[in-house]
Amino acid sequence: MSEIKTDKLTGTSTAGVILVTGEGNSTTTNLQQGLAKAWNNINGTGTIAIRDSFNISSIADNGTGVYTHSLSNSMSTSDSFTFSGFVRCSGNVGYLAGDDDNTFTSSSVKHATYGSGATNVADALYATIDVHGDLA
Amino acid sequence: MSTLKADTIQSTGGGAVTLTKQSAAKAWVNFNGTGTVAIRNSLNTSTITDRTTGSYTQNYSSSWSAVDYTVTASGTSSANYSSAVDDTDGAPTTSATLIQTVTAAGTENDSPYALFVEHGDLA
Repeated sequence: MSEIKTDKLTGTSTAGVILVTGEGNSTTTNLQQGLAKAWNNINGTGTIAIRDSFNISSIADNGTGVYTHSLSNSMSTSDSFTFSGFVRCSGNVGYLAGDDDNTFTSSSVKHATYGSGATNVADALYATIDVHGDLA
Repeated sequence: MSTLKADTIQSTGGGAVTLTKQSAAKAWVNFNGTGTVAIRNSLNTSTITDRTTGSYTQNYSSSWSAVDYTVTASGTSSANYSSAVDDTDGAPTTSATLIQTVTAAGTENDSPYALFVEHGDLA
């Protein structure tokens, strides 16, 4: 197996576009667009704390079950990226939902966490998110 | 710091290259599921078909090698929306996934922000 060692990959035609061949060898995919641009694993109970993260500068507690993850490097637009995640509240698997009350920004992700089947927000022992989309 | 410039990377055998410590998403989409469905941004998503209230089909530009890819999703809080694979209407295929946005009560309803990410092996 050949191996290339380098610290940075850049497209020659367009700096931000490098195609990689898919596993089945018949398609290509955009490497940059497929990479997660941020992820975060937090303890959202009590004094909230980041367990581990990527491209996250800080986390804010906006009240029970509502959090804002601030990005170190911003996304290109305010509302055209995706995020998804996993939530565990009080021993139960829950879900998270983005806060769409005019709070989508390019520099942060704000969301609420809910217990399983619950309509009321709840603090999450584990709340994880991953962010995909285009960086600024 | 060295910089390697290339437009396409393949293994020496012409297949997929191993990228240490990372596995890229192969598709994702952010769309407005209310009214006329509109994609805000996406990767490897050709269209979103509006099937009925809260039910959509995500069609892929490049197909998967098998149907065992993973899907993660989130919704929005205005009506406690979450998002999921709609396996009651049909199993995922290599070219499309039936998806839904639901309220906390489990009722399908159109969501202003539907966010889906898929990982797995492309064809």
